[in-house]
Amino acid sequence: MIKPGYLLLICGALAGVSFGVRAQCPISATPRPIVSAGDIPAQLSPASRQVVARLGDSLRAAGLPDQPLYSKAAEGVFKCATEARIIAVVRTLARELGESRAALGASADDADLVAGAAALHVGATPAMLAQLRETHRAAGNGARSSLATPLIALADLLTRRVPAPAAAAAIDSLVARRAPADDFAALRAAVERDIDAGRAPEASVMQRTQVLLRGLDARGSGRP
Amino acid sequence: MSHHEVGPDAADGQSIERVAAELRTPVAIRAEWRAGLLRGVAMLPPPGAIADSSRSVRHWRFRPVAAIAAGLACALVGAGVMGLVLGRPLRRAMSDPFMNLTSTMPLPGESSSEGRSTVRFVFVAPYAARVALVGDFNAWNPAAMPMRRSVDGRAWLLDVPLAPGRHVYSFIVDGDLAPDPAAPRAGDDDFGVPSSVVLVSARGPKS
Repeated sequence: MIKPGYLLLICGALAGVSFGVRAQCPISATPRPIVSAGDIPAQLSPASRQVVARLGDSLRAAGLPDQPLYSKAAEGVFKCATEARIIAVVRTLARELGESRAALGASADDADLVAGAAALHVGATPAMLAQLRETHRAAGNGARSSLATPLIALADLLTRRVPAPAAAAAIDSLVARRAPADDFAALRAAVERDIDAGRAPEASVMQRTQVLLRGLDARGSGRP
Repeated sequence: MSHHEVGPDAADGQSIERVAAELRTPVAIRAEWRAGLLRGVAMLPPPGAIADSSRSVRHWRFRPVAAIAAGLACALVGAGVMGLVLGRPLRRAMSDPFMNLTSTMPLPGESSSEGRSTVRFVFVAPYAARVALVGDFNAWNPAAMPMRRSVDGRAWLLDVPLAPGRHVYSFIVDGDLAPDPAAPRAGDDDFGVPSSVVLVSARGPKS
């Protein structure tokens, strides 16, 4: 037998706990000062802002885009991360942008570099990126042609726990055949569906890539 | 014959009366025991008071059957209210022939002089009360880009001119973050909540 008074107390305690969990990081539509997307978030302490600014300066000096750092810091503030976490993530991103530049070469544009950094972040290696660049070049794509779409697809596959060698091989084979952007989108969507249905990620990516390659064959192997 | 039938009954009646008379005779007990017994009886509450007291205890007693019945009644009332509130959008969604034709996509031919291309962000959430778009293009400001409900009521839309490049974004659906199910994952989700990516090339955006 539980008295109603105790029941009320238990319910109140549970409600308080759940409200407290939500209230730790309320994502409300509270107006904030309008800042440019390239600004360092004003919510950071002066010391943290200085660290981010210094990292941005060093990226600019190296010919790398600095805006991704500020966007990442703003994302951290929005998602209620601690300042220490935000600074650690921004430092990692700065390092990965440098590695991405080294792997993709001087011709890579900002979108390529950021996509390459994201792929490195989730398990691709600089050698995989360099191989992708070589394949892209050998397939007859111009020096100014973007690798961002294949790199975004690679990062997406890695996020879905496809083993890095299998994901890189699949993307590389599509790049070698000059597959259009739609094929990369189709690959990641099909693999996502397969994984949701319980299929092994590696088997899925291999089978789906073969299907797309056969489709490219049927369409006359790649497009200019 | 009749004498035979009456005789035993009369004897039984006499026996019963004798036993009853003996039972009515007060039991002889010691005087101090009798006084104590009477004091105990005097301390008992009157019969009406006992009934009231038991009623008040029953008032605080937890009754599982009553609680279950009350819960069921609340659930029924809640379901009725939800049905009234959500029934119309649900019927609209069921009759929508373009149910699967909504995802974030480029708007062809829309490009500004600064090289920006317009991306139509779409999130299917018929039952959401409020949806907003956040991303690196608005400094992750949740108040900057509220989305509008589509005419059919099942999706939320917003057209945003974006500079060429890779953009990370997410939706806020009734206060909770949700990635775009139709777009690639950002990969570099360092803060525990997944985000999505849209790529805007010089010729137009790609998911």
